[in-house]
Amino acid sequence: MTGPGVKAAPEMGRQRPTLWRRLTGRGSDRPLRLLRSASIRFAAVYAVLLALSGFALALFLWYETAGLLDRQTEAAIRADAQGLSERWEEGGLPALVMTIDDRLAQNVDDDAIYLLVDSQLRRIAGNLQRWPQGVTATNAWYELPVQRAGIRSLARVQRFDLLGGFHLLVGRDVRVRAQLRNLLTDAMLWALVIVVAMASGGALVVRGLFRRTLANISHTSAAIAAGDLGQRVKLSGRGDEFDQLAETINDMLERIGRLMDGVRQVSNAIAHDLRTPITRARTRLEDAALHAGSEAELRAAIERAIADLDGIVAVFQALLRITEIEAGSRRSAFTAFDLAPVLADVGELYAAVAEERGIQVAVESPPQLPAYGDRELIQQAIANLLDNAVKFSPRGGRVTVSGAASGGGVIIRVRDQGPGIPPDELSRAGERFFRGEDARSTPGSGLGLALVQAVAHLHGGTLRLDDAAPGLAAVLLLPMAQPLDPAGPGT
Amino acid sequence: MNAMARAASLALLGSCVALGPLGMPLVNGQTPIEQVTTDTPEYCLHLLQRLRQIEQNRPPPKDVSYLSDEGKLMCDHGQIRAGITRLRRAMQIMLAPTEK
Amino acid sequence: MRILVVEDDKDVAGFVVRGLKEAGHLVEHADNGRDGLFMAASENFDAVILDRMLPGGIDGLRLLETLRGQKNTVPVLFLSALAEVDDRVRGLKAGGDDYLTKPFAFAELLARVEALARRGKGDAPVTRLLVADLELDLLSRQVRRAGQKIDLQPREFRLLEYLMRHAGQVVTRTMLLEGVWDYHFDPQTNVIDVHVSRLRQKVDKPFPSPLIHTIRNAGYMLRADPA
Repeated sequence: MTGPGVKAAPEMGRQRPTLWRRLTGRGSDRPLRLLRSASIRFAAVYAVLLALSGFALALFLWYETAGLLDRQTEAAIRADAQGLSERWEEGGLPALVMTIDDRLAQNVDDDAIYLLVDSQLRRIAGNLQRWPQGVTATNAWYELPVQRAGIRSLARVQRFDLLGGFHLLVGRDVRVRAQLRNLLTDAMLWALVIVVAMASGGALVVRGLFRRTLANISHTSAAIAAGDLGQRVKLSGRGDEFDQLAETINDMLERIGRLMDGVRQVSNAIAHDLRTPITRARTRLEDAALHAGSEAELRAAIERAIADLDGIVAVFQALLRITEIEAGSRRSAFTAFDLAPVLADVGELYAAVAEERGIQVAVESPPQLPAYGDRELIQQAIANLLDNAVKFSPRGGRVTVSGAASGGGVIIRVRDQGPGIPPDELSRAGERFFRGEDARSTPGSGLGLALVQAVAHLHGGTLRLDDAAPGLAAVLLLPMAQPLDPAGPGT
Repeated sequence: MNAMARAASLALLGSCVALGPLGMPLVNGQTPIEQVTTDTPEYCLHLLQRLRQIEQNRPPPKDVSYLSDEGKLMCDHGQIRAGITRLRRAMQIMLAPTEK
Repeated sequence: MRILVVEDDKDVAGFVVRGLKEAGHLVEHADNGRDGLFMAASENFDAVILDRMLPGGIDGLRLLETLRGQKNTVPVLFLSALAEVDDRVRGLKAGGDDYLTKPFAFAELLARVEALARRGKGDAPVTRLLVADLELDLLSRQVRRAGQKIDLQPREFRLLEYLMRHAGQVVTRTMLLEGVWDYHFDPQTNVIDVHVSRLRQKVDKPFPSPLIHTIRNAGYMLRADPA
């Protein structure tokens, strides 16, 4: 059994440094920690981006200035060559020679370079002494060092081949321009150095800002991780993204707090509400094992213990069902259906029980009541509400189940004439295992309303408990998530 | 155009500009450096002679003769390039109407 | 009846096998999916009790799907600790005829398996049910006992029909809830008892011998002769 799973185990087991440790530098391996620090990454990204944009800007400026000089030179040379070749075509060699001489004679800028040679590279016209050795290709630019009155200079030249084996060299002295270009390049390089320096400085500032902003959140998280759930992230009041994040985190903490309360409450309830029947079953069994005088007595004790255990199982199943509903996996079972027969059926199911206790159950519903959701769960929710109502109604009382279309959904109201729930307990009545002070003596798990609540939430609806004076009105509001087609299930 | 594409195109542009001059073959210093013949006293003289020839056909304007005198003077005193520049300007003025 | 139990938990299997034998059935047991599939495919059973999670590479669902793939129509009851609604739906979709979650009462299991095995006999559609002097006409929807007409509410009629279709068998409260009301949850109050007792008022009370019997710790049974 040596697979990747085995290999991966130590990797997974390795303690990942918490955010707090990362931010405050209490980690063990410093270089790695530096790379893993989000603030440093952020700062680095900032610096790189700024340097890159500075570089791009410098390149652009360079291209528009120094590059322009080069391009101008090249354009001038090309135009020059074009003119010369026209003269060559019009008047042949003498015209070309004359033109070259003329142009040289009028070259006020003192930068023109011409050289016309024959096939033996013997000079015919122009102001270069000899044909430079390196210039072999046409249509290529050459940087040619030249000597001008004892001073070294640089020329940019291009070679043109003419009919009859003549070669023409046209160029410009670019020394002044090259100097200018170098000057510009230097300026750009210096600008880049400044940009890089500023980027680094800016990165430090960004890192500081980032850290300071996160420190608030990480302080809070650390405090909460240490068990102080009351902490909240402080808001700067600017309403910016960090405030939004802080708000989201605070909302999350709020929800976690509520869930934790819920879990605590449920586990307390389990500890309390299940301990009682378990204790009872255990006591019965032990008592029977020790004291049962006859087999019949033993059997009776065991049977009662089994009944207790069944009760425990029922509570577990109800809990699991609520959890299942709250997980939302049942949403796939949503369909459009007619609620009217559902109400009638549930009413009929409980009417008999109610009648035994002298309670009257009335169902009020339009002939058709289109609804959308999980039929079985809604059925169970109504049954639970009705079960409660019948359970708490006094003899001779009346329980009304009514259904009606309301806005985009349906509203189901179950009203009894029982003692109701005191106002201070109303808000907690949907909690798991909650049982009103007056209801302690009534049989039940305290999970009925919690399930209804869960069903309501699953459907995006609400369960409201109103004081119906006298009695309690449970109002289940289920919005219809999907418009029904008129030829739907009602027909 | 998004930022990435823009950055990429700028970088491309930049590298083209940067590599352009580098890609150009440089005729290096191992071969003897070519002399430019239009920086010499001979050329100065040559220009002066041509000017005189043209002036024979047409009397030069005042500034042309001033320029050519000055140019000659500078050539004589060894300031060849400056002198030549003046002679060229004089030549330009003399040739301008006929050239165009 | 011949019943195959495919269950890997020794305690549960032993309990189920013993109980079924006591009830007079012939029981075979397999403790893994491979053996279970082999036995179910090669022998004739009246019903199969099948655990969902089984060792041996073939779980309950695969076993049943393979079995159904071979056109084997033996009634299958799932006995599983997987209690979510989706699990139940998956089990029934795979070809299961009934689904019972653990923990379970043996009486419930027995009642359901016997009902399944009997249903598997493939009785032709009937229009009239008759038990002793009780007569139920499905077409005219009339009930008579000893020639005397009995007026029943629609739901009472369906309750009686269900009991009569399972005459001589134990019918549990959950079976009634599922079969008559189509409810798949456990109402906390024992509503079924009240409905059965109302039915008794009409069907049994005016007559000398009762037909609907309460079976302790299990449910009800409709049968002619008093036990």
